[in-house]
Amino acid sequence: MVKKSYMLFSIKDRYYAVNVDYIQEIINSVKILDIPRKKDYCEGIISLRGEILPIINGRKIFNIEKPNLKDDETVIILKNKEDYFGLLVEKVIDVLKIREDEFLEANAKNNIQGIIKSNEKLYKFKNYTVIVLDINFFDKI
Amino acid sequence: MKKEESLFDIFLYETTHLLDEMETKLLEAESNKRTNKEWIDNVFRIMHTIKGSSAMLNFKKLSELSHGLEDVYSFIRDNNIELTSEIIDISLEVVSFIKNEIETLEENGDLGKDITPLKNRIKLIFENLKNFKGKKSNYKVKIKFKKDCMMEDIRALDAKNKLEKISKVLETFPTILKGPDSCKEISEKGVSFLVNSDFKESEINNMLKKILFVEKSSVTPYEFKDLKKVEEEEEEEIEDIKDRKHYISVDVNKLDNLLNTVIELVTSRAVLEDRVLKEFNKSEEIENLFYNLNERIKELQENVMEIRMLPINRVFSSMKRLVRDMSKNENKKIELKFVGEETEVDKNIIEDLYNPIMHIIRNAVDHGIESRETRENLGKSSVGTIILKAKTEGGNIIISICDDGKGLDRKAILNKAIDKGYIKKSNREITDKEIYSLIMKPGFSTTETINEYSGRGVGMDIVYEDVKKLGGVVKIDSKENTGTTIDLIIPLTLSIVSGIKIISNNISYIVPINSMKLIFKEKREDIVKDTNGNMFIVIDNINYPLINLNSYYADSNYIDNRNKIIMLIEASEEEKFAIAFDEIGGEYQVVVKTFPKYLKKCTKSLRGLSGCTTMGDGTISYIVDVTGLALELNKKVSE
Repeated sequence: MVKKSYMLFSIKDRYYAVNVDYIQEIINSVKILDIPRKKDYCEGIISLRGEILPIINGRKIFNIEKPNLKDDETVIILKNKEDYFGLLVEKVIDVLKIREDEFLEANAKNNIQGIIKSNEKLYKFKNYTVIVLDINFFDKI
Repeated sequence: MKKEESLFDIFLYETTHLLDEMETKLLEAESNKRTNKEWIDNVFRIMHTIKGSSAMLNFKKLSELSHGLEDVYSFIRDNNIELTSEIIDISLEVVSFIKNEIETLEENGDLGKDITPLKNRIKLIFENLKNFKGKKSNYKVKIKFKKDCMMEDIRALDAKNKLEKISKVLETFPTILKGPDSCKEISEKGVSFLVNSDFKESEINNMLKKILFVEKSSVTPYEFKDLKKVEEEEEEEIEDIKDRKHYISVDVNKLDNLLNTVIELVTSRAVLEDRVLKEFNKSEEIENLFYNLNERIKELQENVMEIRMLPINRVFSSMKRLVRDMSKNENKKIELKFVGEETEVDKNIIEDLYNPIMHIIRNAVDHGIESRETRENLGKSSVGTIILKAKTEGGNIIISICDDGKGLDRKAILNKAIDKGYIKKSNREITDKEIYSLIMKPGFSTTETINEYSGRGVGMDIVYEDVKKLGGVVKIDSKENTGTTIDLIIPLTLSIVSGIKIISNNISYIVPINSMKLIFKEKREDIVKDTNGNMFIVIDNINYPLINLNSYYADSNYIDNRNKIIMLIEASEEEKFAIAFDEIGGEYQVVVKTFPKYLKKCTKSLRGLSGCTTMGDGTISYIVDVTGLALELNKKVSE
């Protein structure tokens, strides 16, 4: 079975991964600008080489409590169909090679109850629970 | 790789243009009731060209149709025959027929529909023309009465009357026939007439001989060209050549590319200026250089925009045909007038204006303008009028469609709206404008019943949507038995705006410079609040509604106590209001971008904003939608 590459990132003590096919680039310490009548999960927008991209706050969509300091400053630029947007996370860790049969089915009994969407897949990684996100996950926001 | 234009594409392009030209010409002839040789030549040439090119591409039916009309016009031209409404009608029908069919035309195919009925009718008209008595010619008729016959003037008038039965008398010599002076002249020199007739010389002369006291009469063919006219014509021709402009047709994609490049140039310049001013000491030289660069880019941009501009007349004149056909069908007499048809609008906008205007005109003809009898009973002129107006005002183009028909039925619309639950029955006064804007609600207009009472509203929701897509708004005003006026207010160009940067709550906004009237620091005592919490500001003893941008563009319950800057804004002549914000920046030329799709997901609402832009320093500003704000304020005040 073919191994696919996934980008592993974290917010506080939670681990997530996204297929690298959807990742355009990773940027650090970018100035995020406020927008009028901002929704809760949105952090603002950035201007990347003339393009305006919205930034989604990872903590808000994954229900992780607010940091004491400003910990999150890494932005992963994702491409969902024709749209580009940024996901604000604490840090990017590594790229994982995963075979599809290594995925565990999402289990409601895990600690991540309430976060899992139907098309997310679970993966065990050195005792950490990594939630592998499907790109469609962002459609539902 | 560029795709080569095929012969077929060129044929389609050319033929469509020729048909448009022909249609305009026909309608022109119909309303002026006058044609000249040049006109006939033109129409003949158009038919001839279509015939030729369609034969070349082996579109037999098309070629046959145009051949038929070509014959008719060539006969008219060669025989000086006056155009009849019958010929104009059939020509217009052929034009519509080809226009409709050409869209389905495919390479190596032919027109799908049967052309026999049309062809037969053309044939019939042609036969009738040929049977028409000979050809019309101009003659000079000279009559000398017998000496001492007395009352020469009366006799000359009698001769004129008799001539008028068989010809058209164009001129008489002397010009005034009656009176003692003419009497004397006629008895000495005789009387002459210039006539246009389809009778032969001998036939006219025979008729003249039957007139009493005619001593001598002569009829000679006359070339109708006196010296003065010949000179004028020649002069005109010379002027024509001088005034003739040279045109080339350009692929629209090339223009779009050019515009995009200019837009990028505007942004690059802004970035460059920002960097240079940050890294080097500000010197006069650098500032001058940037000033120059700025001006050139502005010029370039204006020129590119201008190339893309087309007179709105393109849309307007296509309505002529619609009004003509519809009013003929419904047996109404309607005059369509244009005001400001030379107003220029961006090409992209012009194309999208056609449908909304057409819908409104259709409504006006169908339901707005009453039948001739009704109009006469009401003491109105039996001819209805629709006026299509275009003008630019404050960065917008305003297109007004006014009719002098029966107006909207306020009561019926109101009842329907209450029925449908669009508005609650309440005691509060509902303004006319509010009621009329209800007909733009989807579902409201499409129902048959409302059509019967209100006589208006087919597809008004479509109009509303179309105009909204162009970033514009629709305003409706109406008065019973006086008529309805519908205004479409649309931003002139969608891409580059010059504006003032303002900052509110750490977000920067751009206000289009042409709507800005005044800027000053707030004085608390000038600001008043009404019982509903709406704010007003008094400027020079006039009360204007005031919007605090910090709370308007933030969450609902934003409290701030900062000192504000106030800007008075003029959305249109009647709509002025003020905004309050924290700081003011400089003047900028910005490229307006539509909001990225994802942005709409990240904000609760983009109300009051018409786009966003990247500034030179990489930050983002939002374009304040001045017209939208004015509209919102209007609604608020009337509530």
